[in-house]
Amino acid sequence: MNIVYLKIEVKRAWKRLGQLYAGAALLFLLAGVLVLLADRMLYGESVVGRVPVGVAVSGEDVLAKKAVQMLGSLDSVKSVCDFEYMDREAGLKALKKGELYAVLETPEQFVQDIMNGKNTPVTVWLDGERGIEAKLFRELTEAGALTLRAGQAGIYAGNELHRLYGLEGLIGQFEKDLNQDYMDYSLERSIYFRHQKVGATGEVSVLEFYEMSAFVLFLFLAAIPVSGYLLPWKRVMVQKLRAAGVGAGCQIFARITGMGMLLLAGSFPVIWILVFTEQLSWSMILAAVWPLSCVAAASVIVLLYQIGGSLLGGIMLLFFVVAGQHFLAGGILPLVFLPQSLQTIGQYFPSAILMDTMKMAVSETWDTGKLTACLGMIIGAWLGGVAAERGRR
Amino acid sequence: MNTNTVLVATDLYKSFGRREVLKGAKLTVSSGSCVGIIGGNGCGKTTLLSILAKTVRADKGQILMENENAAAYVPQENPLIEELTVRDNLLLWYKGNKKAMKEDLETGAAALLGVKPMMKRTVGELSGGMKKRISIACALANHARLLILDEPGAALDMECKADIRRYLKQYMERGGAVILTSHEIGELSVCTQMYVLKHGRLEPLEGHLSERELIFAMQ
Repeated sequence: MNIVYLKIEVKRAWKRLGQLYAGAALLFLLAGVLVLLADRMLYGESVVGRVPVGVAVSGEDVLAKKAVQMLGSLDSVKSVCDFEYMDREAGLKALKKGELYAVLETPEQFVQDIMNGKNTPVTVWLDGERGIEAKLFRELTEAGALTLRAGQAGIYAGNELHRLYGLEGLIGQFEKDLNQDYMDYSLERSIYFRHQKVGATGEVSVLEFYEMSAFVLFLFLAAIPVSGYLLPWKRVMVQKLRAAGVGAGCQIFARITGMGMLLLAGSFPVIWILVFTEQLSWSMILAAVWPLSCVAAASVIVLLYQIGGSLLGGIMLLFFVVAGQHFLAGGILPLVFLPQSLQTIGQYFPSAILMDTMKMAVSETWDTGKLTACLGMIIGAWLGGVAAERGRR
Repeated sequence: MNTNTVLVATDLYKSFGRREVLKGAKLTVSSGSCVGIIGGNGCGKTTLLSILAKTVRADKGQILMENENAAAYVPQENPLIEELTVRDNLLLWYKGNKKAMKEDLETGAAALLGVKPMMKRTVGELSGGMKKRISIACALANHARLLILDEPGAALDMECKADIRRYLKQYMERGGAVILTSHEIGELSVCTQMYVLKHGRLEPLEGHLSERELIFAMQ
């Protein structure tokens, strides 16, 4: 009887495939907008793109211009900023128009003052209304100033030491050598920018991260158009099924299987597009984690509809729980942007577990811990569903 | 329990919280008979039928039947899967046994109920009367000798009610026994024995009673 019931449940689910596809089209539109907005908000063109900075060098100070050029040639600066040389008025005008993010004004005798040990301030004009970009440039300038200050301190300390040991005659050579070594080491810092990849999304790219997030969200919300299938049975049906030997455990298992297969069929076009566009490569890992993710999502969906108890209750519960936990699980903003306490618990939410499971397909590496978490979620949701079914009787 | 007896229920007790619904109900049903149970709304008729059909457990008491599959229960609400075809619904209760289902569609209960022409239709498209017939056919998939019906004619038109009465008579002629509850005197006309469920006990009603006498008996 249990096998017959399982077949009937799968057949019921299969009949809803058309509804699922229709709902999926709408969901994709929604998810696409979400991905674009989130990507733009976090890594939008204005930050990833170039930061134009105007440089106003007083008079015809060739040395100052050279110093600024040297600064601009550093990898850390070059990767973010474009220096444009102009006079102060033109720079401020362009800043007001929004063509520049900042204007750097070097005073007369800038380099000579540095060499003489005189701290002449450099003026930086920022547009207060352009928050993130201005802040970024300010941070960069302050970091540069600190680097220069450290360099100056090194030179003055060396000079002092020579004087202390009566070696004033060697100061010229010392400064020359120190300059050479200092420049070599400062330029060496570029290796950090070449080899170290820093990202809020961990080992996957921003695009891959949001693809996984949208896929998981799709799996959950795709249940809404097929809510009719997920409604708990009427009391008389439950009684008859139980009398025929189909208990709550079997009923919930069959419904998870049916919903899982529906999600598998529903998400097939998505996976096909991802593989076709080479966003994902077809592998044994993908063949295993994709159905597993579908069944895991189905188990959570079935649990929520069992708790919801009615059509409206199920839809409302699914929508609000999924949206809330997806955010807390770092599906909208990566976990690193959330408070520490949320980062700790966020990894245990269903969306985080499902994204971790799909991450295996992206990185093409098995992870026993992630697989166990996913299987644990399925078993937990099944037990919860059985308890909810029994509780309703 | 002799060979002619289909069901013997003794001292059935059932409570929901502090509310005692059944307080020592007794009933014996023989083959070829139809037992009608009347009673006011909420007196426990559905609970009694569910207990006799063994879909709900009694707190106390004993029910003797020929075997576990001796009763076919048709609740007031049709236990059918609306989005599936009649065939799929029947297959579920025939536990996937296509051969047995085919035989019944030709010569068994399903044939008498006229289910065959509806086989490919989705249950959701059918009328209330058709759904009731399918519910009975599904319930009788286990070839039970006892058919338990909870208000079978509720919300059905006159023709459907007459069809179901006709079928019940045929079922009894074939040696089956029927227990039904109803609020309609016409539906109770097929009954050979009548009981009123009052204060948690079944009290027998003797002879052919008019509607007025039945109302009086329930009070």
